[in-house]
Amino acid sequence: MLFNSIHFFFFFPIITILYYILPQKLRWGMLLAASCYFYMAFVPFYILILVVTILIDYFAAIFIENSPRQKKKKYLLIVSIISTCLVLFIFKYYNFFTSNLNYLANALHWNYSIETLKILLPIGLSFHTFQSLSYVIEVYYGRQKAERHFGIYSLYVMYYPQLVAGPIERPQNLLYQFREHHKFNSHNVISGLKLMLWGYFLKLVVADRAAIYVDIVYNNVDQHDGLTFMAATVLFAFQIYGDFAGYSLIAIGASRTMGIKLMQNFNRPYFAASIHEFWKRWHISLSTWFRDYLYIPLGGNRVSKNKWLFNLFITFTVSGLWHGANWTFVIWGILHSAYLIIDILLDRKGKRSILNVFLTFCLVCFAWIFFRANSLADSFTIVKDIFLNPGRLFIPQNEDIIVPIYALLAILILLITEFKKENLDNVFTISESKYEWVRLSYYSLVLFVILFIGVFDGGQFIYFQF
Amino acid sequence: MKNKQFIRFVTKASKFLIIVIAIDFLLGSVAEYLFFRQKSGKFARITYALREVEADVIILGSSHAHRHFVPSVLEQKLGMSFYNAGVQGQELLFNTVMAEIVLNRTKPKILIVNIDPYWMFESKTPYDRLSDLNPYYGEYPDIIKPIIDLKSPIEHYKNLSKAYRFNSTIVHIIKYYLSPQPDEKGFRPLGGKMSPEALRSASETEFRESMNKRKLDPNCVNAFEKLLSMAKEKNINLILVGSPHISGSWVKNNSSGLMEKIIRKHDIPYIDLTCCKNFTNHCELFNNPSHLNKAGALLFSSILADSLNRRSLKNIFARSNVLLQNQ
Repeated sequence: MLFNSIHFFFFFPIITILYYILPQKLRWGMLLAASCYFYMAFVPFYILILVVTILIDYFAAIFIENSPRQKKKKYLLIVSIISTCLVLFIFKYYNFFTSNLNYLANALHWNYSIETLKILLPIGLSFHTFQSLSYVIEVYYGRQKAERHFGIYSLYVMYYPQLVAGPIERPQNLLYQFREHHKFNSHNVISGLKLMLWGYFLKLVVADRAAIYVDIVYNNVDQHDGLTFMAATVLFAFQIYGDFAGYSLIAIGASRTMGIKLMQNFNRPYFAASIHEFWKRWHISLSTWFRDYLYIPLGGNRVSKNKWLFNLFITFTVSGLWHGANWTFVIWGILHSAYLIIDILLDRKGKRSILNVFLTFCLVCFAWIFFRANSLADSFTIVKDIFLNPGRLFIPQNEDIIVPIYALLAILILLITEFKKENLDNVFTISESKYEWVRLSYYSLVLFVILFIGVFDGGQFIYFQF
Repeated sequence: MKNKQFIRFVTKASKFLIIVIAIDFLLGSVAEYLFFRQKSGKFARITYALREVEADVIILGSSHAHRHFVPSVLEQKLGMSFYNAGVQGQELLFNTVMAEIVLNRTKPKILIVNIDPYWMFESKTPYDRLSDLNPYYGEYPDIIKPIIDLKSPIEHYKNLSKAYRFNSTIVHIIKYYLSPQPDEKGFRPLGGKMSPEALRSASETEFRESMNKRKLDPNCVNAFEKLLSMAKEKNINLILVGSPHISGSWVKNNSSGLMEKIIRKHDIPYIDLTCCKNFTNHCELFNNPSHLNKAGALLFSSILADSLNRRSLKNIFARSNVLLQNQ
C-alpha cells in the first residue's frame, strides 16, 4: 500500500482509531494484522519472505542469549546474518551476480552461463532485512534482551509505518514502545498529522513535480545535452530528497499519532557544509546502521590511517550496493567514500560557509548522476556531456512549460522553509504562532498548496525498490 | 483526562476543517475566476467549445484533430462554418464527455471525431489526463462524474475541493495571460519537418507487434459505443476520420480493428486516411510520425474536404453502409 494511495487514506484513520479503542493487550495484534494487510497490498505471496526472516532472527536471538559460550554466540550470529542476507541475496543480488559472471565468462571465452531468475524484488526487502539484523546484532552484544514474545518481535520487523522504507529502527528504541500503554494524546496526534502533512508536501509537490522533468531527461539520454543534464540532476537531488524524506515524515507522523516515536531520518541535508556533515543529515537511520554494524566493527577510525580510509571505502561501497544491484549504485557509493577520503587527506574540516554548502551540494549532485542513470553507459554519457557538451537547456514548450515551473516553485518553497528552520528557527514562526488561528491557517494553506499544485496521478516512492 | 484530550483534539480538528473549507473556497474561487477568464491556450479553447461554440461542423479528437483540421480550408471548400475542438493529449474518454456536453447545448450540422488507432488499448495515461475535466466538474457534474469515477471511486469527493479542481492550472493562466497563444478557430499548426532517421524508426515492425500485445480497455469500448449511440439518439450527423501516419505500419492493430468493427455495427461514416498514399513516407508533410506539419495539415484538410464533397455530405448520410476509404 502506498502512502499516497486511496487505500491508505482509509487505512490510516481506521488503524489509528482502532489502536486507541482497543485495550493495550490487543493492540500489538491489531497492529501486526494491519501491517500484514499493508504489506500484502503489494504482492501477498511475498509476506512469506518476511516470515522466513522473522523466524530466523527470532530464534537466533534467543539461542544467542541462551548460549553460555562466546564462541557459540558468534557462530550463531554468523549463521543468522548469513541466512538473513541469503534471502536478500536471492531476491536482490542473484541476477546482478549471475549476469556479471556470465559477462565475465563470455569475455574470457569460457563456456559458462547461469540462468537469471524472473522474480520481482519484494518491496522494502533491504529495510526490514537491516532492521532484523540490527536486532540480532544488538542481542549478541548484550545491549538488547532477546524478545520472547513472537508477536511483538514480528511487529518490530513488520510495523507498518516503517515497513517498506524505514526509518530503519533499533530494537532499543522501538520494541519497548509496543508494550507501553499510549493514552490518546491530542498533542501526539496533532504533531503526527503535521509531520504527515509536510511529508505529503515533500512527496506530492516537490518530488513528483521534479520527477516529471527528471524522467523526461534521464530516460532519453541521447536526446539531451550537458546543460539539460545539469538541470535534471539538480532537480533529481530535490526529487529524491522530497521522495524519501517525505516518505519518512509520513511514516514518523503516522506512528506519532499512535504515540510511538520513530527516529528522525533527515535533517536538511542540503545545508551540509561537508560530505561528512551530509551523511549526518541524510538517511540518518541507514548511515548510523552502517556506522554501528560495519564501519566500527571493521575498526572505524581507531586504526592506522590507511586502514581507516579502507574502512570508509568498504562501508560506502557496501552502502551503494545496498541501494541497488547495479554498478551505478556501487560507483555512487565509491564516489562518496572518495569525497570523504579526500577530505581526510586534505584535513578539510568543512567550516560553515555558503561556499562550502554550495560545493557540498555540487559534489552530492555529481554522485546523484550515477544513482539516477539507467545504466553505466548513460551515466558516463551524462558526465561527458556536462563537461564537454553543454549544448542548449531543454525547456518544455507550450502546456508542458508547467513541468519545470511547478518543480522550481516547489523547490523554492522547500528551500525557504528549510533555510528558515536552519538559520532563523525562532524568528517569525507562523507554524508555532501563539495565535491558534494563525497556526491553523498556516497548515490549511499547506494543504491548499498540496491540493493546488501537487501531483495526484501516479508516482511511486523511489526508495521502494531498495 | 482521556475525554478532555479527545474533546480538545475534536475541537481543534473542527476549527482546522472550517479554516480549510474557507481557504479552499476563497483561494479556489480566485483560481476559478482567473481560469474562466483565459482568452487563449488549451483551457480557453476547451471552455469555449463547451460553453459557446456555434458552428455547422464541430471537430473533436486528440492533438491529431487539433493539429490536422484547418477550418479555413474546410470552410472554403465546403461552404460551412467549422470549429476545431481537438485537445492535445486527450483520448476517447475525454472526447466522449466533450461530445456529450457540446451536443447537450448545441446541435451542429455535423460532428467530426478524429479517431486514433490506439484509443481502445488499456493505458493509465488517458485516465490520468481526465484531470483536464476537473475545472468543469462544478458545471457539468452529471456528465463528468461517470467518467472520472472510472479513474478512481473517490475522484468525485476530491473534486469537492476547489483547490483540487483547479490543480496545476495557475501557471497556464499566467503563461497565456502574459503570452497569448493564437489559434485559428481552434487549429494550431505544427512547424518543422520530420527527419528520415525518425521515419526509419517509425517504420519498425516491432512497434506494431508490441502494440498488439497490449490489452484492450473495456471502458474505452463502452465509451466508443456510447459516443456513436449518442450521436444517433441526438440525431447528429457524425463522421469519423482517421488521420494519416507517416508509415502506416502501426495504425492497423487490435485497437483499430475493434473500432472499425464497432463503426460498422453502428453504420457510421468513417473516412480512413491513416494509410493515405499522399502522406505515407512523406517526411516533408510531418512534424513527427503521427503529427502533420502545417503543409501536411493543409493538404490533409483539402483531401478531406474533397472526399466529403465528392460524395456530397447528403450522400454520406443516406448510405446504409459504412464508408471505409483508403486513398
